[in-house]
Amino acid sequence: MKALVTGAASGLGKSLTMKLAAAGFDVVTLDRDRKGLEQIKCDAIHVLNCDLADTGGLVGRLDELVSLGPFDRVILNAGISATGKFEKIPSEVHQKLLAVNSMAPMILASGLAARNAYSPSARLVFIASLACRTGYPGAASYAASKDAIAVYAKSIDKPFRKRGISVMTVFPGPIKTGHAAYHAPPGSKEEKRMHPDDLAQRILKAADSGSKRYYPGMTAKLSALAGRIAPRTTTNLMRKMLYVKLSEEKW
Amino acid sequence: MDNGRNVLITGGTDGIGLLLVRHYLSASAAVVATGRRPVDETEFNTDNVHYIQADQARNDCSDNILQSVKQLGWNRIDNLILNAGTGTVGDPADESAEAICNTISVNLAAPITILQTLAPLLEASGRPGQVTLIGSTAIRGAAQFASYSASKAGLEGFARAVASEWTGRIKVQIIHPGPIATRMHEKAQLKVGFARRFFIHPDHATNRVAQIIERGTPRAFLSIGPREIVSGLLGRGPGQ
Repeated sequence: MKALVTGAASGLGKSLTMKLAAAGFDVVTLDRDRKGLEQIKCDAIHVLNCDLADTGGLVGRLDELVSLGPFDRVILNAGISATGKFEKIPSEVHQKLLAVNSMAPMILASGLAARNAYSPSARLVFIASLACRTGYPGAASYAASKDAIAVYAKSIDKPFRKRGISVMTVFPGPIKTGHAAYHAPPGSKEEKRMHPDDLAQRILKAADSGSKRYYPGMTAKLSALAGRIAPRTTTNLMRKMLYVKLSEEKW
Repeated sequence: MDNGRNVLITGGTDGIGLLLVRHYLSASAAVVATGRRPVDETEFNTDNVHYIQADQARNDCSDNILQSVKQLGWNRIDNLILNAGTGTVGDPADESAEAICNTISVNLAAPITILQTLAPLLEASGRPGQVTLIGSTAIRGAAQFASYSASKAGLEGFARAVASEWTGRIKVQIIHPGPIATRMHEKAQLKVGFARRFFIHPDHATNRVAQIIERGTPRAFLSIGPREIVSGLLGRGPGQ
């Protein structure tokens, strides 16, 4: 069994990679972080250094990726964020964010399908965000990128299923990673965030079971429900809990 | 609508954008339209509409628009209507990386950059200024337009966040139209055939969109309704 994981050098991607390797998968990993990749490299984990912000460069690596397949699990996890006042974050940062979080997973998902690089009955997993259900003032381009990828996943569900590929979208809430801590408002509590190992375990289980949409944990499920019932109140709450507390722009 | 309003509409050479340009002109607003084509290939070689040739696939698009607007002597924009969009049709597995990047750039990245660049002019409006993003009912997911539906969903998430951030400063609105009987579908090489008679009539759609803009509703859908169904069943063509 083979798997492909993007953004594997740290955070959730690293946890997913380790769990997959422990479950007997040969894992091909992509990340821009060369040092991080060196640390996870082993017989079961093949590493490719690739910056997903460079969409042209990514297209150039597709054939190499295909030669390492076919894949039973493809987890498009890599993502970056930018937090603060939308107008104060440099325009180039918003652009880069859309390239990494939206364009790259779409290029990979479709590029692998066009090149028949999925195994029969493969699972394709997109990591969206709970922000898709709650709104995310203070991370406007991030929210845009995640809504885009979640609806892309929904759109390709049927045509990909015809090819034997089932598509799952995950909507995680805050995760206990360095990335999340860096973007959280000062003074926010870390205990409430889900541990990436725990989340990775849940995601792999949900992927095995063939779920289409997965909200990991009770907090995510309740927040998604709140966002559906009272979208504007939920976004207002996000504004109070996050946006007004952000002291500076970070990316 | 009151007079003397400054309105900027992207993608104003065709379809609903063009009809909105005409609508605001007839309401005595000052109108700037943007589009990809050179001015002599548009109907804007007259004095009443200021036309800016600005291709949203290009990086310099928003700076180009800002400079042209300033050259006109505009120091405020009252209504910014981000309508321009593109798209391709087909099996998502056949969609090239180039097509994906183009759709996301033109439909999502460009409006975000244009809004960021023009935000100070909207804030200077004091009415307060209002931005209207044109989304699509495809945000519910569309197998044949995967990257298009993604780009429009991206606008939805963006509008929701920035509307909250700019509370009390700039009004942010998103309108999701259903299928309108414009040239959009043939431009995307989509054969709609029989279904087209159920599409929303462009004039009707324009009036509805203009009404929603006046009301400033944060989020609205413009779907096929009883008018379109009756008209389609009677074989009269789009929502007459």
